[in-house]
This record gives sequence, structure tokens and C-alpha cells, in this order.
Amino acid sequence: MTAAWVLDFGSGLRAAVGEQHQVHLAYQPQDVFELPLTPRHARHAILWNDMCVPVLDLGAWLTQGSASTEQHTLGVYWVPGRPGDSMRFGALWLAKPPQRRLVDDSMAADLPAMPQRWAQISCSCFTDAAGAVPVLDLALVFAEPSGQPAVAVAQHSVVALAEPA
Amino acid sequence: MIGRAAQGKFTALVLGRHRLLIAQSDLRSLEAADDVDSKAPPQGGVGWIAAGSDYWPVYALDDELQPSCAPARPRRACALLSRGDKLFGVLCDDLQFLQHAAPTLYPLPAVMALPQTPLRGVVAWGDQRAALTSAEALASHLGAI
Repeated sequence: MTAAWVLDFGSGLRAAVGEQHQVHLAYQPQDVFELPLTPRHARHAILWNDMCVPVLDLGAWLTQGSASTEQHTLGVYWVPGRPGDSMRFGALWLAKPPQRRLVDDSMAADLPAMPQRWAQISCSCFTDAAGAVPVLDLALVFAEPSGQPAVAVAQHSVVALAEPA
Repeated sequence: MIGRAAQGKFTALVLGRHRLLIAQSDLRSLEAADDVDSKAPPQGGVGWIAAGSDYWPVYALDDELQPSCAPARPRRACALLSRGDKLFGVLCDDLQFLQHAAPTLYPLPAVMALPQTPLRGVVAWGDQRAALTSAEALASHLGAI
């Protein structure tokens, strides 16, 4: 068994990250600012621990829809990089505070067919009582927009989500 | 990556709710938008402005800072920017000079960098935040001649 945080983006969209990735939570943060000329789902940022941390509306990106209005919580996550890279962090808008879950490989499942973009940012998937929960590959979530999308994502062990990259 | 003290002086082009920061050395002068001659504007631009013995192209940005030949919002000022020995104008609402601020410069997060983005970073001073660009990057964004 390993621990994960289940993130709720609203509109029934949920995903998980390894327990060790979540480093900060803020409810209705006041210090979020907007930057022009940025992707529609990545228009906001915060200064956190003297770093400029992007704030993504993953729900809007997944559905290719407009910005979500039901997201009031902001989670800051450690984004794994290559060995030698400096520590990198990214933030996600959430509709609810994350829920901690214990998961194991017996809970492994296929990615939901929709939204199709789950396949570009997920490394595995498990099910809980409320349905399928894709496990986010945070390096892909916070990759530059011109980066190669990971269309054919290898399905890793669910337990691998807790392992440092 | 951690922020670092920004070197040099900066000027903010105020464009509606957004600000674009440029090095003060990229700014040649501030002109009145009323002085822009809108007859036979350059491709992608809104007119010409006289400076020295030449006329220079003037461009406009919409509220999302995309180039616009017909901006929805009138701007009252024209910032004349220099790139090498060429000048070009950008219509704006105001200029804000950061003379006594001690700005901190942060890299633009990778996920926010669109292809060919004119943004070069994020600058914070006091409780204010703005995107950093340069005259050269802005000229490319505007398609300036």
C-alpha cells in the first residue's frame, strides 16, 4: 500500500499524485496574479518561497473548455525533474481540498476514455469507490506547451506513484 | 528557480489591466497617441509617428496583448521603443517608471511559455507583478517592420 492525494478539479474530474508531491495548500489565496500572453489554462502564477510558481486550471485544459469557476483551493506540488535540475514546483486549482487514499496494484485500472487528454499527462490509473482516478505525471503536466505530448504513455504500477523520480 | 535582483532600471507599459515591463534603455520617448498619423498604416500597425527626421511604425495591442489593427480600447500614449537603430511605437495607457523600486526577476515557468512568446520573465516589486519583455521581443510579437 502506498499513499496518494486525490485531487478534485470539479465537474467530476479527479486525479491523484503521490503523497510526497503535495507541499502546500491554500484556500482562496489572495496573491495569485495573471500574466498575459500565456496558455489559457496557465494564465496565473504565485510567488511562493521566492519562486514564481505557475497555477494551472487542469479542468479547463482537460475539457478544452473555459476557466473553471468552482475551484477555490490551490495546491502546490513538487515537480520531478532530471537529476541535477533545481527543485521545481507547480500549482493546481482544486474544487475541494485533496483527499488522502491508500492504494495498491490491485486497484489498477484503465484510464478513462474521456477526456482524451488524460492520456497525455497520466502515468497510471486506479479505481476507488467513486470511479477511475488517473495518476498524474507532474513533469508532463507542467511541461512547456511546445513540448512533445506523451501520447503513448506507459502504464506503470500504481504503487510507483509514491516513488521519487 | 529562485528569483534574483534585477539589474538596471525598468519601465512598465500600462495596457489596461496588464503591464509589460521593459528595460528603461529600450524606451526612447513617450509621445501622445493623438500625434500618430493613421493614414496608410504599416502592415499590422495603426499608423506612423515622427521622431527625429523619420517616421516610425506604430502598433497596438488588444486587452489580451495580441497585436491588433483595430484595438477596442483607445490608448492615450505612444511609447517609442528602440531596437538597434530602428524605432517603433506601441500604443499604451501610461508608463510607470520603477525608479526607486528594487525589483526581483523570476524565470517564466516553462508551462507558461507559448512558442515565440515575447515574455522573458516575471518581475515583482512591492506588491506588484508584471511580465518582462524587451523591445526586440515585442517587435517580433508585433511583426514590426
